[in-house]
Amino acid sequence: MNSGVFALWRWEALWEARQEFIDALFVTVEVSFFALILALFLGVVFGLFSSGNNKILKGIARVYVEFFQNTPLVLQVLFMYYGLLYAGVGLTKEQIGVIGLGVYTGAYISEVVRTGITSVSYGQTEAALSQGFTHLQAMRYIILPQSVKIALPPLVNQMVALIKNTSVLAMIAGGDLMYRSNAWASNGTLSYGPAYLTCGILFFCLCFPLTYFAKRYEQKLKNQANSSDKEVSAG
Amino acid sequence: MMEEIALIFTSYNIFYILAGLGMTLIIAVVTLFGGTLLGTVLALFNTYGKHTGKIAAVIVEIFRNTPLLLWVFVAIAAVPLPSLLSRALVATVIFNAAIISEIIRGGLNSIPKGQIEAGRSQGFSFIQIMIYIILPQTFRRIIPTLTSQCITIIKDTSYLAQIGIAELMFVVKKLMSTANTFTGHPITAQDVFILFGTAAVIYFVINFSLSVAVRKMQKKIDITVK
Repeated sequence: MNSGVFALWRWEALWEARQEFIDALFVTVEVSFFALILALFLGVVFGLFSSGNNKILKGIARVYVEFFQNTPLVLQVLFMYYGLLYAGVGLTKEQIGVIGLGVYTGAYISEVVRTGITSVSYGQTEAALSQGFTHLQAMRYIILPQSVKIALPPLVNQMVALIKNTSVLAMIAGGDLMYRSNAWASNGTLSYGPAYLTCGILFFCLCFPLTYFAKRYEQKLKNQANSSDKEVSAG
Repeated sequence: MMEEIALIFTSYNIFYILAGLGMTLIIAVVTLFGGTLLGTVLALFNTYGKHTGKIAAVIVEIFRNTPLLLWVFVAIAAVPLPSLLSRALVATVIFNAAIISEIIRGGLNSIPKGQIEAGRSQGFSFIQIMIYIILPQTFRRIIPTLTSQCITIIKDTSYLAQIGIAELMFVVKKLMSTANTFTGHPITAQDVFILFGTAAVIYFVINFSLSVAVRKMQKKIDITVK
């Protein structure tokens, strides 16, 4: 038998096992999706906390962001996995993945939200308040619509990071794309070539449209800013 | 709790954890310097090359859109180097080179193009212009971002625990799974908490110091820009 890394029979073996890869892709997408929802929720809440005026809430947000940004995701997930295991709490690995990735990415999104909000000048909030808007209304109608525009590209980049980080599940045998690809490759036929290539292509297909969009959108914002600068100086 | 801590932190185990920390730092330093060096080359091709620029851009996109762990696995299976560590380092260096090259590219684009022409007119070659004029300014501007990336690199070394390299994460995990041999009772959630908590504190102290440094540098840059 041809022993080449990408020999045809290896591809046939992979095709036979395609359902495994499809299931694994589904796990990765599912975990990414729910983790993203959790991360967005936490990110917006803590982002509002840290851009508000309440010192205590600000402090809580700071601790959350600093702790989760400055320790490895791998550690957080393993900590939760083994901690819960020995404490006898039964969570599935997918649930652990959703919570771990959601809380970790939430810390990054919180910073994106904070930067988005603080980059809109405080004068606008004051102006809104002077017109009788409540603080929430000022946020909802004046500040957030502008912040979203600024925050969108980094937000999308965080989504990409989240999808790539689902590979952390491989470390707790989580049934995700990275884990299954590696497990399938190291058991049996040792067909690393097709397994890793397929895994890579699938990750690329999930992430590239997002990075491409973020890059384009950022460019568009930059061009808009440049042309409005010109208009101002021309006027 | 105190008893448990005393049982776990025997002098041997403390030494083992420190050795793990040393390994983490070695991996991070090699990755940072190797990645920056290779990343600079990629960024120069990407910014100034015509056809080579397209190739460099494709390489960058491939690595930016796939997980590090995949490349670690690929390197373990495919790189013809003797040790596991050297193979893994190939993966972390190339992966980070792609990320860092995007940071450098941003820096390169912020330097006015006129400087290259000015250098040319003074008889500098392209390489001389880069080494003496463009790159020093570029690096001064990107040092904060590069330091942030350094935090990511330190955190990402923990992925290498998966392939059995004795860095901090691996060491702590191993101590946890054998904790019963020195505590004399089956592993409890408390042991997990103590050991992983210790690792968390170590990672945090290093990375938080770096992130404070990043903020200081950024403030300084903001002030000089204003």
